[in-house]
Amino acid sequence: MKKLMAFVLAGVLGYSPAALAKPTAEEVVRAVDEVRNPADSFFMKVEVADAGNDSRNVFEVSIRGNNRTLVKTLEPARDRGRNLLMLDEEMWAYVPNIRRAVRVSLGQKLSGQAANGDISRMRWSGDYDAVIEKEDAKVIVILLTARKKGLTYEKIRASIEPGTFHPIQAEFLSPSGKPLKLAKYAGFKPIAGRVRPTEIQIQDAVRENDRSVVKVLSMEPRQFPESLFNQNALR
Amino acid sequence: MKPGLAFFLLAVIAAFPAAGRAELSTEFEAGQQLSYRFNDSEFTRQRFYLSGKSEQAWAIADGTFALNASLRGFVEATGESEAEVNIRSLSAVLSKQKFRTELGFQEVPWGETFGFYIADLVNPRDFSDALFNEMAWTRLAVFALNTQVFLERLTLQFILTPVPRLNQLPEPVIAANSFGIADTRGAAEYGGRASYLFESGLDLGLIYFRHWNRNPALQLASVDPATGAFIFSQVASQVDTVGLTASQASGDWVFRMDSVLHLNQPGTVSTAEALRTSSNWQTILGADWTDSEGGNWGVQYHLDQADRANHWVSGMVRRSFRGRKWEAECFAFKGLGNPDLWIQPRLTWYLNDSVSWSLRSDLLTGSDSLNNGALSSFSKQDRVLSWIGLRF
Repeated sequence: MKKLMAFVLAGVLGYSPAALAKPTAEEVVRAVDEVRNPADSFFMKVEVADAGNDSRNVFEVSIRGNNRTLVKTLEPARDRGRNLLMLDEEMWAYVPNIRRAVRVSLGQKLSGQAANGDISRMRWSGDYDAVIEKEDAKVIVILLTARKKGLTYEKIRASIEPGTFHPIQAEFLSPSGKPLKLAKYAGFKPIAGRVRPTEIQIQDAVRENDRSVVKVLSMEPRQFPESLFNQNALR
Repeated sequence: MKPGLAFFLLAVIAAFPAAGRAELSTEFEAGQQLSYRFNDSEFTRQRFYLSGKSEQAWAIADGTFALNASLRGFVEATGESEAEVNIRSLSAVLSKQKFRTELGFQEVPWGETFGFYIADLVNPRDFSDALFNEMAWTRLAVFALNTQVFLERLTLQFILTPVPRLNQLPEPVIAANSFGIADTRGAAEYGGRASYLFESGLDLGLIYFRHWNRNPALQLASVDPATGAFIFSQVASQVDTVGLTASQASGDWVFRMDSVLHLNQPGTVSTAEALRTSSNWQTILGADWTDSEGGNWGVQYHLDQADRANHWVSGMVRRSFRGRKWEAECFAFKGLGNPDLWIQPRLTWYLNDSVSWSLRSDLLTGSDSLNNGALSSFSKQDRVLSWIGLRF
C-alpha cells in the first residue's frame, strides 16, 4: 500500500513513475477499482443507450462490497420492475407478471451489449488474477484471469493510464483469448469525490455496430443493510 | 372490498409523495382484457383495469423503513358486476442489517418452477377464471407478519397469517363471504422457509406451512329448485405441507425443482360424504437455457400423486425480435399416460415503451373422466385473450 501511495503521489506531483518502485499488478487493479468505485458500499444511477435504435434504459444500482448488487429498472416503463439481485456469482431477476424473483443465468443481458456484470460487478480486484503484460510511460496493460467460475468474463485485457490509474479500455475475452467485447472508458469528470469515468462504450468485437453506452448519471457512497440484498427487495 | 375503504387506501397512496422525502417510487398501469371462448361464442372476460403502486422508504439507523401500497381496480365492460378494488399489497417493512420484517397485506412467493406454482403456499388463489393463471392477478394478498433473518448463506423466514383467506372460486360456488375469510376464525396459518445458498451455487429451501387448503375442493350444497342446477360450497380444511425447493445456475443453464407434500388435503365430495382427505405429492423438475440473443427455452417434468399418479411434461420458449418490438412466447403442457394437452401461444407487440398489445390463445384437450389428468374440466374451452396495457 505504501508503494501504491508513493506511486499515486508521484503521479500527482509530476515525478517520473519510473523513478519509484513500480506497483505490482494487484496494486494497479486495486487502484483502478478505486477510480471506478467511490467506496465499498455505494449507489449510482446509470443510463444504458443502444446505438442504432432509440432504446434507453435507466437503472438504480446499489452495491455492497464485491458480491452484493441490487439493480432496479426505472425506464423504460415496459421493463419497470424487472429488477436484478446478484449475490456472489448467483443472480435472480424479478418477473413482474408472476410477481416473483426467479433464478437466472449470469449471461442474461441487461440491455443491448451491456451484460448484467458490466453494471453489477464494478470491481476486478478479488475476482481476477492480474499480470502486467506491458508497461511504459503511456500505458499499463494488464491481463486479468477469472479466479472463480461464473463471472461474466473469463479474461479481461485492460489498458490503464499510469499515474492516474484511469482505465482507458478493456477487452473482454473468451477463455481461449478470443475478443468478445471492447469497452472504452470516457467522460472523466469529478463525481463522488474524485475524477472518474462516467461513460463506458461497450462494443461487440465482431459486429462493430452493436454498441451500447453506459452513462453514470449520479454516484454516491451509501450504506445499505445486508437485508436489502435478498429476493424480497426485488419487487 | 368496500368502495369507501378502497378510496381511503387510494388516498394513502396519493398522500405518500407529500409525506416523505426522497426514495419515493410510484407506477401505474391501465388496460383492457377481452377473452373469447370459441365453443359457445362467449366473451368470458371484458374488463378495464387500473392499478397503482407506491413505495416510500426512509433511511433509519442501520437500515430502512418503508411503506408499500399496491391496489388494482377493475370494472366489467358488460356492467354485469360492480366495480371492484383489490389490495395487492399494503404493508410496512422494517429492514435492519440482519433481519427484515413486513407486516400487512402481502404476497410471499416460494417456488422456483414455471407454469404451475405448487410451492406458493402462503397466498390463496383467485380461481374465478382458472385458465387465467397470471400470478400477478390470481395470487390473493393476505394480512401476515413475515420476518426474515439473514445468517450469511442461511436465510430463515417465519410467516404468520392470523386471519386466513380462502381461495376465490367461480360462481355459483358459495364462498365463506365475499372477502374469502375462512369460517373457522382463529385458526391461523403459519410456517416458514429455511434456505441455504451453497458455494456451488445451489440454492436449497425447506418449507413447512400449515394452511387452509389451496386446492379448489368442493362439496355439493344444494340444487336450485327453479333451474335444477347444482350449487356447490367450498371445502375448507387445514393442511400441513412440507416441501423442498432448489435452483442451480450453470453457465447459460438454470436447473429448478419444487416438491411439496400436502398432508390431509381435502378432495371434492358429494353432499352425502363426509370430508375426505388424503396426501398429495407434487413435484416439478425443470431446466431452462438462455441463448445468445437473450431468448429462453425451458422444459419441465410434472408429477402429481394422490390416489393415483399423473405425469406431464411442459415446454416454454420466449424470444424477442425486431429490436424488442415484438415478443413471442409459447407454453405447452402435455400429459404422459393421460390425454391432457394445453398449448398457449402468445404474441406481444410493444407499440412503444409504455403501450403493449398481447394476443394469447389457450388450446385445450382433456379426458372425459375427472380422474384422468388435470384438464378434463377445461376440455373444449379453447379461447383467445386480448390484453392491452399502458404503463405510466
